[in-house]
Amino acid sequence: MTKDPYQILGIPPTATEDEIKTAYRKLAKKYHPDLNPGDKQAEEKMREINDAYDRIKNKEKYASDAGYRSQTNTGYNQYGQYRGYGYGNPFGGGYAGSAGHEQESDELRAVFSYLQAGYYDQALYALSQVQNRTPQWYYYSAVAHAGKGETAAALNYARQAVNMRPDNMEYRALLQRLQQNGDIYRQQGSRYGFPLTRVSPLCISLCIGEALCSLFGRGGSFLLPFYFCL
Amino acid sequence: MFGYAVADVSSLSEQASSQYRSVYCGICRSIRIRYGNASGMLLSYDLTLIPLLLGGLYPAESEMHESVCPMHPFHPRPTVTGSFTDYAADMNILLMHDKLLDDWRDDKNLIKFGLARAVGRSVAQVANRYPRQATAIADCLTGLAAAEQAGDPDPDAAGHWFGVLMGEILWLYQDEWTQTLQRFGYFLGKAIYYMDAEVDLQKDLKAQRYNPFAFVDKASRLAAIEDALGNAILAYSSLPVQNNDEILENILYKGIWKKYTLKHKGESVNDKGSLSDSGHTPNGNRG
Repeated sequence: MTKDPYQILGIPPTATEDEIKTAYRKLAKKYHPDLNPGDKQAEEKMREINDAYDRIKNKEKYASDAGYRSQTNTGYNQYGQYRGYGYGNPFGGGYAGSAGHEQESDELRAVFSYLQAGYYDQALYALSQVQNRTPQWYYYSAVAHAGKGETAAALNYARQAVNMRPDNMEYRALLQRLQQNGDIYRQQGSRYGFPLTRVSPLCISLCIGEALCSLFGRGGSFLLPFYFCL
Repeated sequence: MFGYAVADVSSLSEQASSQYRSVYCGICRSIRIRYGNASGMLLSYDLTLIPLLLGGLYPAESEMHESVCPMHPFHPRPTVTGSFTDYAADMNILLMHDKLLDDWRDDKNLIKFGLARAVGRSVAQVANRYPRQATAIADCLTGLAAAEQAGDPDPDAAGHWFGVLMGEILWLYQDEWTQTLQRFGYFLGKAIYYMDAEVDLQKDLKAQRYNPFAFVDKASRLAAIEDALGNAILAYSSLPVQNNDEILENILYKGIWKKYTLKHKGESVNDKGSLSDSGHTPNGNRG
């Protein structure tokens, strides 16, 4: 089932990094879900392309990059259980269209595809190559870090996105979601002297409900928030 | 990274505060008996968390004694003994050894080097007894040092390793609670790492030392700390801890902010009165 990633991208295994990138972009543009709304085949193709690009990039990265990041991510597999305490992927599963986003560059579209597929490392790498740091750039950075369970960085980027575009509901929703565990902490710690300045009681009950739901799986997610309001 | 997982004794009930003290005495006793009196000097309050948590989770394994010690030779004190206080004593030796060597590298303090040498043999002993923990501590400190040296602007890179370290030393038995203890330890470790970064931020910036919060604004820093603590609390509340609940909650909600509160004491007045008298509010600057 694993096809040669070079074949998928239509390039020889000797292709340079630029050639790989160009081939990837060309294909990504053709099959991007934005341009093919509702087309399952295009979606599947896009996933295949992302996967191929990911495998090629990773091969390069792990072969040549002796940097500590790749070491820490692959060298200590015995601590794998500590990864994946993430916030999940807001773009995963159903497609959360980016049609409404202000003129998104090709680079950010590529990032979006990565995020959608859950390729956070690739998304972060692509983000690091982008010069122009728009609010959307901060938003995507937050999503990528959140997906990796790197909440401190995610919070920082999400807040910057919100500061730049306070009226963007998508940004605000992400920030709020990232803060929900902190909200639980502050709420439960109120008897130890934590004043509640940021969120209304209603929202707290919702947040706690949601968080508990995420503990127990999706089953009761509609009922629990109401239960906590009572 | 020491002095964060401590209780705020002034707000503990009498019973809880004496229990807290007896656990501390128990670890100290265990260290002195097995590794010599001098090693007792190296005791950190932070490690009381281990017997408090594990003793609360597996209550059958602790006993209470009366014992005297060099600090209190004439007044026997209640002392908790058992496998968890011994375990905490051993982890204390491992961590302190690394801290002493670290301090020695930083400030060339010969006393610290001498102390590190003195416990060196005990360290090998402990590492033999707990190979998983010893390896984890070594791996995590390597990961931590690499992240710090690389100057990674993403706080999670270094925080992750301190989290793993805590996650690995907080569990002892492979059973149904292992994963929850790991998760609890992971987030508590992250919280401690971030709290330490927050408390030392100005100092580190001035000395041009690495600080994981160097590029993070204040609101996000506190949010990161609270997120880690929130995750820790969620894991903690799914553990059937039967004893020491009051002390553990006190550590998680109050004691952990002690150094932070101390540092911000002077500022509390200027904060539009949103800070309470005790100064214990981590979120005064939030809008």
